[in-house]
Amino acid sequence: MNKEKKHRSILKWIGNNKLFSLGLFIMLACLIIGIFSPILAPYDPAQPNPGARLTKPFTDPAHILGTDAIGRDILSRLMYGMRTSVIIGFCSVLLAALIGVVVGIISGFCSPGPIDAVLMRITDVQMGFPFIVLAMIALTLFSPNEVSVTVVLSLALWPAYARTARSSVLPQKSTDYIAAARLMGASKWRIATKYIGKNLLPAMLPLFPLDIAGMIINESLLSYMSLGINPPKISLGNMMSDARGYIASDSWYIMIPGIVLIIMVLGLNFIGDNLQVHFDPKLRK
Amino acid sequence: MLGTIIKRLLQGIFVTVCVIFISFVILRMIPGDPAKVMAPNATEEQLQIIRDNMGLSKPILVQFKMYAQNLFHGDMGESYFKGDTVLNVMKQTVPLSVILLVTAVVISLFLAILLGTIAGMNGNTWIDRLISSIAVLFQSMPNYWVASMLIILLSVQAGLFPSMDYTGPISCVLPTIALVLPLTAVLTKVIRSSLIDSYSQEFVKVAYARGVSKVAIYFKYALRNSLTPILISLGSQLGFLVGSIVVVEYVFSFPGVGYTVLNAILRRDYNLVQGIIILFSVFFIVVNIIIDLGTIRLDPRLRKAEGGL
Repeated sequence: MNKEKKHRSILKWIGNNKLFSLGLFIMLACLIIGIFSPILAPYDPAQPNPGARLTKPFTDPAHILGTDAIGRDILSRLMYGMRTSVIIGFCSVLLAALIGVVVGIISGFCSPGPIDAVLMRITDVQMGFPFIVLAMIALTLFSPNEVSVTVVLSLALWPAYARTARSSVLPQKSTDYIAAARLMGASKWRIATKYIGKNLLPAMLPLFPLDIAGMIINESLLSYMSLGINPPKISLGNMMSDARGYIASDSWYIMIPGIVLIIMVLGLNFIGDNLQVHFDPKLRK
Repeated sequence: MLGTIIKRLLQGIFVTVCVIFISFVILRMIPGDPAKVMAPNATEEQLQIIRDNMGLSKPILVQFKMYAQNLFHGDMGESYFKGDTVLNVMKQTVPLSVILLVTAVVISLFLAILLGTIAGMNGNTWIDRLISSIAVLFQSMPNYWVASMLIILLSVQAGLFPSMDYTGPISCVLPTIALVLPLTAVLTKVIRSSLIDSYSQEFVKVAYARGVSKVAIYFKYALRNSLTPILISLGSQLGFLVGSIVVVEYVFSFPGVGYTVLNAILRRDYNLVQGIIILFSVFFIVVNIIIDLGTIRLDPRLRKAEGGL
């Protein structure tokens, strides 16, 4: 299949999967809003406006989504919050996948053997900590900021990638084409990257959007409990934490960031679910 | 099988010991002096006395050795803040969380089997699409947001349930619903796809051809086949579930383990945090072992690979 034809078939597949396209559209929109939020935001998200406090959404054309308790524009704050979510979500999954895949391939290659056993026991120990406990301890030890939250999230996630990578390396090791590559004198490094690494993609690709969605939720959850991104920095989680005090009088305030978060996560789930069905012929029916 | 059980148990014990040691060391590295948090106005001399009493001035390995010895005798030390032993604090808080967890899992399983069956039996009809869409929607909602919506709808507006603290079994209702909704969504999806998978298998078609009734096929073949995926996804949801309990308890100020551990961390109540981490980890590891063994027991293919049962 030449390249152009391949591209066309990918486009055709995307066209046939409406939910996938919707998810892709949502993800791209979130990325653009997240990356360009400093340009797109109509107001400075930290600028209070004592004259317009807790304006209800869709009542004031100057602040479409209303203002918070000290009169900051919610739309602008949402855009900056999405920036935090997008950056932390993508970076933590990338870091986790990187560590996990490297560990998984090494472990799979050395299996059975002492290196494999040690690496797998490390993932066991890591998985023995429920995520939330790990996060709570780590984030009281290191002051919570974007970097430490990203590291903590990827720390919780990498064993899953290591397991996945290892379990798709193992059955490949005894296949004929690896034996052929070895016979032709390919180095271990070349076999690991060129042959085995490439074949990991179908197992990994659907995990990325699903895990990014999960990490976006986890970030907001930590920030909600004041263990993640804390004010004055903006995250959807700490916006909702702010809104906690107004849950009885201004219940719309906690709804808005939540709805934005759900739309983002929903988009990523659409992408992930469709990729999973695509790569797993068993589910295709 | 016995070999497998022993192997898993040994692995579990090893992991538990590692978790205890690592969390012990990390907790002592957290900046902030528990003596100072306890008595903010004390003089340096008084602080030193408090530290000596708590054993904090000794080297960390000596502290760990003492802790491990006590732990072996079932003593997890005292909670500095609650003025009670860690064991007693746990006795008060754990049952509440266990009630939440168990009811949430049972209700979710029941609902998921019901909804998953309806969706799976009507694959690709509007019923299936409706159920699947709702499932994805609830899967995408953060727990604490669902909890907040429940407070707004059922507590603030309808005034049906209390939104704070524990005032009797009625306080468990909203937290349980907040835990049930996302878990049901995940399990429903698993059951649906596994049922669709089962119904396309040869042995089900053969059973149909032989005239086995639909009800028998559903219970004997299809549902039984989806037990393994249900167990596996329950296992992988477990970490998430523990996290959910902490957050949901936080939202409702529900005095269970999750809320307690959160407060304990903020107050540097080492012994209590340590105790709850051990509890969480042991629970986590034990449930995972049970699930591992359960899947082996249920799946004849795995049973063979493990050397018979």
